[in-house]
Amino acid sequence: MSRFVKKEITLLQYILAINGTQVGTSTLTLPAELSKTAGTDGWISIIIGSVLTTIVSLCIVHLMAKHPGDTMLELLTRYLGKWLGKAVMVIWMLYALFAVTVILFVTVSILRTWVLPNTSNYLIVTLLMINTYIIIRGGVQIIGRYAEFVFFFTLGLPILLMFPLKDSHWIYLLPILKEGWIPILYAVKTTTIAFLGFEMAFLFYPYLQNKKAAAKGIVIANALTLIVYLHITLVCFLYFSPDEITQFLWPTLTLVKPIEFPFLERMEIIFVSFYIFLFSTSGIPYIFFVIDTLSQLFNKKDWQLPYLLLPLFVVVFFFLKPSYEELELWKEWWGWISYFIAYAFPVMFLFYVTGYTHWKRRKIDDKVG
Amino acid sequence: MIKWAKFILACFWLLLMPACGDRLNVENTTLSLVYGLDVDGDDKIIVYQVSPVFNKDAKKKYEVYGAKTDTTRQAREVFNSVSNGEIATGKLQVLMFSERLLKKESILPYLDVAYRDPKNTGNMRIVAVKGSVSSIVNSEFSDKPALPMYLTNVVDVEKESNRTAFVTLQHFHTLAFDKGITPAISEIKKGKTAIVVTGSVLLDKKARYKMSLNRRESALLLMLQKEARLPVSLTIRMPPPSLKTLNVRKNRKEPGFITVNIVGLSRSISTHYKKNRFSFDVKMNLEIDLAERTFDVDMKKKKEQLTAIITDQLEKELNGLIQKVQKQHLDPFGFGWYARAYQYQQWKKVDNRWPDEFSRATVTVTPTIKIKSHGVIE
Repeated sequence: MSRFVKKEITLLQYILAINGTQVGTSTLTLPAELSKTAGTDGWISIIIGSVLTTIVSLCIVHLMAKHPGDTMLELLTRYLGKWLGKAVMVIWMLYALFAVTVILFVTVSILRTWVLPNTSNYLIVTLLMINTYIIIRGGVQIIGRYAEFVFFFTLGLPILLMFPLKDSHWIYLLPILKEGWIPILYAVKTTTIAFLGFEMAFLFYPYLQNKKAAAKGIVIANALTLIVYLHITLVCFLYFSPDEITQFLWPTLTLVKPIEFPFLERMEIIFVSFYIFLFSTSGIPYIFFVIDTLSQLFNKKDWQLPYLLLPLFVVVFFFLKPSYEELELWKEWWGWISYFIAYAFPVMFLFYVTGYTHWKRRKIDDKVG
Repeated sequence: MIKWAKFILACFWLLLMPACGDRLNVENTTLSLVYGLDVDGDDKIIVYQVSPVFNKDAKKKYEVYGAKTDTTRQAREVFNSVSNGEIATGKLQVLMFSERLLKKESILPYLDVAYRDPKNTGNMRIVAVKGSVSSIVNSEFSDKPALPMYLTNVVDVEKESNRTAFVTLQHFHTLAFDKGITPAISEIKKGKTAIVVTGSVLLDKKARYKMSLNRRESALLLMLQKEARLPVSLTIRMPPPSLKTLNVRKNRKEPGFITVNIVGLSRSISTHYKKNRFSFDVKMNLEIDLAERTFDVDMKKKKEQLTAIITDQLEKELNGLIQKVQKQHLDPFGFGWYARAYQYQQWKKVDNRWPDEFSRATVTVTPTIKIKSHGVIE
């Protein structure tokens, strides 16, 4: 499509934008959540979850590749008709809206717990929204560049996370498969929410310069995410005893707490400050998705009105102050909704499209024959 | 016009955003460095805190507050009511428990606040006090640095020389909640002229006092845990018959002594389950340097005999320590981890009462020793 010509993103930006969307607040909670269900075998669940995500991601790329350059809405209306297509798009938009709301609330709650206990919610969100506005105004290209920047900017964190390994015990991981495969498969459920963000391939694909590399790109993006989660989970499992890790809500932060310099204590504050960047890259694409979809649905170019969403978030944060348990519940809902929208839908839709084209071609063949 | 509006808006934000409303100057805080918990006769606990005084006019460089309360956190409000600045616990270095408290009840409820509050550091040292906490915090040594610093340093020095089971708050969490190990913490007492680190205290699974280890036993414990910082220095007394085998001319009445520095330490544990009980076979490979020897011996000819004697002594001591600890139904060595890792099916059945099960287990430690060097003299 001609209107995207100037806004192309490179393969690296595409990879890092998707990886950035995936790696979010789960980096802090995943190890504890996994060990609640699967014990120290939880790391195997991450690998299974990653394979699952990669398959669904490939379905998305395959779908989009049928009509390169089509946006998601154009693809949906092509196969589902104008109204059903738009309806599905609205559902996706609401899903993205819910996702970004949860991400923002969790981010703010973590910031308030660990760094800024006396700052009000809406003030933190205002600061986040200013950055978000600057970035999404620039469109997908700037989002891609921002993801690139954040990835290289936070590259030091994994190295710092290796420090606690001097007090690690390999023996904690043994025996592998202690309770068999059932708890491991059960814990895959927990990892799916951590891998969410791959569905933004729908958003980024049309802007990708070299569309042939899209499949390769998304596999790399998923693999990067796998490495990030596997690294954090294994470090946590090696450092914390399997019996104690379940007691921490954010084990990754407790992990870096003992790192101490004569001039600096509470290392985790620096960590959280860096993690704000990671959290922002996981929220921004969703916000952009919502705003972009709105202007597409109403078919208006350079529409300013959807940007009102950003101040709206501040208002929402001013009035809505969920407790920790409520946030956990929202996260759970997000997980459940994502099964249908992010995981099941692309696969079902691919089946439908393949069947549809097959059936149509046969019809044409019949006519010709 | 719009430019001006934006400018005014930006200024407005700048006024609003800098969050200096809740800043706290260092002069206005009471920076607690040491906390101590003790009990009196009744249900309440006595909490002490020691903090440095940053004031030229004050004669004493640190201040001590005590409060009788129900919980640890409650004490802070009592301290605030008398102190010069708001109590800040973020820099706590030492957290002391009197043995009387440790014997009376579990200390885990008192530690909850330390784990729950993210403002706390995870690096404070957990220390048991022989005698009352007030004897430590009210002690005055004219030739030592200010008490909070001295207390911190004295524990750290013993950590470096492997004579006490050094535990930080975060590490204690592992020891207290892991089912396969029981906690061991440092033990101090007030001596006449100084604070003395007397060794370690072993706690049970509920974090109650069970027994004390002296400094030498603490060193052996650290070696068995493989937590010892090398080199570990041990002085071994030569049993009289052994001196005969070494052909030592007995010129003095005292028995011979030998001091070794353990410079290399590797450990392998094989775990079995047979005859209804766990058995652990611990092989320790020690590389030692001779640091001191009070008797004459021909190192070229008698090296093997000497090695055998040292091995024998160490083996006796290590096995003795394990049996002594087993009798108290404790496992500060972490053998439970090996039971979990290699005998998971059996471990599953006993994991909730592991220390009891461990007291029935057979443990054999076999050290192998290699003398690497004997210094710069023959």
